[in-house]
This record gives sequence, structure tokens and C-alpha cells, in this order.
Amino acid sequence: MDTPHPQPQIAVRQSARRASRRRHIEAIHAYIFMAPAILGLLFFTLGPMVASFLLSFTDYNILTDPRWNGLANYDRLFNDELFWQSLRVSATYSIVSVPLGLVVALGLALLLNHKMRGILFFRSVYYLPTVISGVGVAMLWRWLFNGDYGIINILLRGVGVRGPNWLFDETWALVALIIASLWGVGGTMLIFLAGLQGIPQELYEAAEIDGAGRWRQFTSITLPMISHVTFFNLVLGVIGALQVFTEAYVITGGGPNNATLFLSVYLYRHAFQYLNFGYAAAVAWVLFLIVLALTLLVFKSSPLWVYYESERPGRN
Amino acid sequence: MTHRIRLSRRQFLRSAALGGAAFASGMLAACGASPTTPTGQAPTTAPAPVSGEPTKIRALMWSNGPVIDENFKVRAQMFNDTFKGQYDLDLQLLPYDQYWPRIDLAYGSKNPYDLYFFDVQAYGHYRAGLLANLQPYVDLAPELMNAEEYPVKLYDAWRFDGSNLFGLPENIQVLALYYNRDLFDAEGLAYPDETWTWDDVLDAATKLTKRSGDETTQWGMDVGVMDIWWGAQTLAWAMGGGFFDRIVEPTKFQVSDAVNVQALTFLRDLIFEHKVAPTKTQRSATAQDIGIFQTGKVAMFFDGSWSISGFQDVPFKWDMAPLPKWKDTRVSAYWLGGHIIPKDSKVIDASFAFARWSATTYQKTMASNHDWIPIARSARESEEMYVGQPAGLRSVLGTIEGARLGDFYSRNNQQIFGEVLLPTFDQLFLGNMTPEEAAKKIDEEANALLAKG
Repeated sequence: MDTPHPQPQIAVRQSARRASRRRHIEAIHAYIFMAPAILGLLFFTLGPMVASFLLSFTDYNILTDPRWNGLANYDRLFNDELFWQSLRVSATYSIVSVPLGLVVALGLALLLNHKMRGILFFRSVYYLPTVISGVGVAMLWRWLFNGDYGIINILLRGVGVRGPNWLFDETWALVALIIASLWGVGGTMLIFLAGLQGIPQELYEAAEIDGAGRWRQFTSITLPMISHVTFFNLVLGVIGALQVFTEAYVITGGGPNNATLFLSVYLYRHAFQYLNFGYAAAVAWVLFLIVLALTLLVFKSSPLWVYYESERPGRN
Repeated sequence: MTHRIRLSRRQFLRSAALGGAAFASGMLAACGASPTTPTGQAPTTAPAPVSGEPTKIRALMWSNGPVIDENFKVRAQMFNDTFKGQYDLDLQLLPYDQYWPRIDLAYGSKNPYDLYFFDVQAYGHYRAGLLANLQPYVDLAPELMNAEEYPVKLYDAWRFDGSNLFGLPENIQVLALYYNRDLFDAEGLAYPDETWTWDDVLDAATKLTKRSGDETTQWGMDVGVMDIWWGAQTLAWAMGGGFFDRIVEPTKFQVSDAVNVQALTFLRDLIFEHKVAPTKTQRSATAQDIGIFQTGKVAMFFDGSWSISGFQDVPFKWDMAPLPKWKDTRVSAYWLGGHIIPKDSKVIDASFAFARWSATTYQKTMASNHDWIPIARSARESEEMYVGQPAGLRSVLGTIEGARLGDFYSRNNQQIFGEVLLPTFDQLFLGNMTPEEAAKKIDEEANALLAKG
């Protein structure tokens, strides 16, 4: 019996089998490499999240077994004046500190984007504060804001202004923390700087030929070309601002009179000081939902103001 | 609530073998002394070596600075040396803010420490049914209840159920008035003593406050712990008041009573009316990182007896006196320090042996260490206790007998401290609230929390 071209068929089949085996081995390798991250996510993020979600429906003091109490924690939460106070504090802080931080970071990045002697030194200097421990920095700010002998009020006195009693005054304590938050703009600044350095120089040259001034170049080239970086910094800023803890805990402890009682501080108090873990879990979930909603809002709004070169019509 | 004593079979057999005829006291035979003999003497030597591994005791204490921490480590070593081969105390020291979370997490993981130091948070552990009832152990160690040696009436605060002890005290603290002798000498003023009233304090503070233009260069006093609720309450007690109706499970805060408001007003006026004491901000600025009294810029300072060791190296002469009287009455606050044992510890008898040893044999060493105040009178009044110590210490310790507990025990006491008492007292002593407003706020909010239980 005549069998046409038997050899190539066997060769193709063998080749396909080899390719399949290679893909299979590659897949195994991929899973092995991914396993630590996936297992870490499952055990250290998703697991605790599921646990905290379940605990938020219980009365749990960690000392004894949790008791199911349905929606009682959430019901209590919405009638809890201090919860609303902490929500107000976190919201106010976020609304002011995030835009302020972005503006200051962008301003610094613009200044440090110049080619000049010693620029690397200045970039390091402005970035350095972000690598210093949060608690150490918080202690430092306590001294700076001392109403009588703090350097901030001494400087204000130098220009004829009597500074407030920052950390003990309900009106000024949150303002002090917002100012202190600027200490950490170095990280945001660095990302802006990377974005600025990615803007093609020919765009500015073309604009200059067309007669555009500095301000016009900034608003029509710089801002749109770094909008994706701004978007990234905004998302991280919102998440970070709603989770702020160390500064509030160390500098003011939530006081005076709960004027700096951030959600995370309130959560900590209930969990680790009052042993109301079930209630603290409910606060944590509300905080998570707020962060999620705001992040989604920023993402949804991004087509209106974020420009991606790769999405320009006519480009692949 | 019922409480069962846990005694390991191995311990029982070991004790029986060692104690022989003293079998009836077998549970405490591990201490090396007959627990049924009310001698007031604690064991000083270990019983004969026994076979097998020593019983491991996991103990936890909060850190109190390098000097006291080192004393605690030495104490653990002394205990292990004394009971070599029988017990092995593994003592961990943690900063206070990590101490309670660690204990709570250990309970949560069903692996509690065998022994830890008491503070008010432990009442929550009692309420959760987690503490061992130590009364049966104490009953077998009658020397611990010798009223000549121990201020046993003050122990009632730790009889949470009204009759049984849930902790074994080993030290006691009271409030005191510390003063800078150099500043008094420079002004030519007599030193404070046990006859002083608050009027005398105010009079001296006025003379000792020095100003240069708008700036105060030397303060006559610092209210110290008197701007905390338990400090302020001592003055209210002396005036005939009190902030709540009872210590264990209070049912009512009554800070708005006229006499309590009067006490708050007096203390607040020292800062804002008489201006002889710094505000909180002036204090934090003056104190730097070493404490305001240690700077030498304050003539008088109110604090607990626990601060004595912290003042040892100050570059000026200082002494201490009892809290001043209000007219003829003085009431100080006291706090018991001691050990508590989880009922789920597998080595309750061994843990109690350490608690008992600390409250008896170790007391003289505590006296000579000059860190904390021994609970045993013989140690507290011993010569070692006063060697190199301020002359006024003896009279300060004399106020223990008439003192009242500076705490209250309720399930949510931490929430009442954190959400009501602390912020309201802050506002009061920052000058942002009148005493009447502060008292009203405390009563409303604290009573609401008490009602929630």
C-alpha cells in the first residue's frame, strides 16, 4: 500500500509534541516562579481580608471566641460620633494634602529638571527625607511644631507673626500634620522627574518656534505629557492619605480633642487598645470601600484628563 | 464563675516525693518551704535536686528603662539559681505599648504566657474568664496574708469577685511631691514636709517662680501627674469628693459634683490664674527629652514613687515629701504591682512559686535596688531601703496606709480612658475648657460608656 509522505507527518507530529512538552514545562516553570507571589497573596492578603470581613460581623475581643452579631458593628458605626469625626479628619486631610503634595512635588521636579552643576546632589537631598523612618520623622516634627520653642514659631516670630500652639490647638493640629506630610514628597517628586525627562525636547523647540511662552509650554506640553504620571501619583496619594497612621499616632495621638483622629488611628484604638476587633474590622472594611470607590473614581475620570501617547489616533 | 486549680501530675508526684509528710501542702512544696507553716518566711533555698527537665515558665514584663530592666533580668536569674533544676523562668521584656497586644495575641492564639505583670488592662482578662484564681494558692501560703507584714486591706482591689485574689502583689506605689532643694535653698525657703497644705505649696511656688520679661525662667512647680484624672482625684478625695462611685465595676461618674469641680478648678488655676506652673506646651518645651524636673528649672513636681530611680543622676539636690493636705486631710493614690497567672497556663504552680518568691524572699533585694517599693513591710522599712535615698521617702511611704486605689476596673475602662478622660483632661489643662464643662462632658460620656458595659 502506497502511503504518501509518511516521513513529514511523523516529523510534524513529533515536532508538535515537543512544542507541547516545551510549553508544558514552561508553564510549570512559570507557575513555580509565580507561586511565592500567589501564595503570599492568598495567605497574607486575601486570607486576612476574608477573615476580617467575617470578623466584622462578630463581637470579637481576641481573648475569647468570636460571637456572630450580624450587622450590629455596622449599625453601631453609623451612629458613632467618633467614627464620623475620624472620617471627617481623614477626608479633610486627603482633600488638602494630596493636591498640595502633588503641586509641591511637581514644583520641585521642575526645579530639579534643569541641567546644572551639582543637580544630582540636590535631587538626593530632596529625596533623602523619604528614606528616613516615619517614627523618627514624626518625633522631629513634634519639636518643630512646639508652640513656644519650636523653630517654626521662632521663624514666624522673626517676621512678626505669633504662631499658633500647633499640636495642642484643635484648629491647627490637622494643619500641622498636613504641613508635615510634605516631608515625604520626595518619592512623588522622583516619579514626576522621570516623567518630565521622558518628554521629547523637540516638542518644546517646536512650541518655541510657534511663539509659545513658558507658561503656555507648561500647560500645553508639560502637564499633558506627564498626565499619566500625575494619574499614578494621584492614585497612590489618595490611598496613602486615607491610610495615614504613624504621623497622627506619634505626633498628636489623635488629639487634641480628636481633632486629628484619623480613621486608621480610630481603627487601631478599637482593635489594640479597646480589644473591639469585630468593630475595628468593620471600620477597616468601610475604609477599604472608601479607598476603592475613590480609586475607581480616579480611574473612571482618567480618560478625561490623562493622555497616553500610545493611544493617540492612528498609532498602534 | 468557677475556678479550678491546675496542678501537673509531675509536679504533684515530685512534691509528694520531696515533701513526704508535708503532702497536704504539696501544691506549694515546689517553693521549698512548708506552705502550711505561717512563718512569714519565704523559701530561700531550692529543694533537693530532682530528675528531669526544669519546669519552664514563660513570663512577660514591660520595659521600664535600662536600670529597672536589668534588675528584672537579675531577679529572674536569682530565681533560676535558687531553684536550679526545678524552675526555668524565661522573662521577656517589651515596651509598654507592645506589652498588652502581645499578651492579648497570646491569649487569642490559645497559648498564653504563664505569668505577667498586672496593670488595669488585666481586668478585661478577668472579665473574659482567663485568669487563675490564686486564692487557693494564697491560702496555702499564709505568710502572704500576714497583716503585720503586708497591707492586705489594700489587696481588696484585686479581689475582683469580692472574695478571691486574682493577682499577687509584690510592690506598691504612691504619689509624692518631689522638690529641688537647691532652688529652695537659693530662695531661703523651708522644704516641703508632711505638714504642708496646698496653700503652702502655692505660696512657695509663687516665690519660686522667676520671670524675665514675658519669659518664665524658673517654674515654682509643675502639676505633673495632677493633670491626669487619677492625680487630680487625690485632691478631690482630700476635699471629700471622688470621680466615681466604686472601683470595681463603677456604675456612675460624678465629676460634676461641686467638690470635684472645685478640685479641678484649683489645679487648673495653678497654671492659668497663678501662673506658677507651665502649660502642657511650656512643659514639653522645657522638658526636652529628659523630663521637666530633671532640667532643674522646676522647684516642685508631682509624680509617683516609681520615678525615684529616674532622678538619681540629676545634677542638683532633691528630696520628696507626701502629697500636700487640703486643710487637714491628705489622701494619696496607691497602685499595686504584681503578678497574674492565666488559668490556662500549664504551670500555674510553678508560676505562683515565682510570684510568691518575688513577694517574699526577693523583697529585700527590691529594697536595696531602690527601683520599686516592696510590698512587705519588713523590706519597706529596712535600712537597705533608705540607704542613699531621699530623706522624705519614709514619710511618703507612710501615706500608703490611708491611700486609695488610683484606678477603676470595668470591662471598657480603656475606652473610657482613651475617649473620655484623656482628651477631656487635655482640654481642661490646655485652657480650652472650664472645669464645669469638662466635668459635665466626662459624666455624660463616661456614664454612657459604662452603661454600654
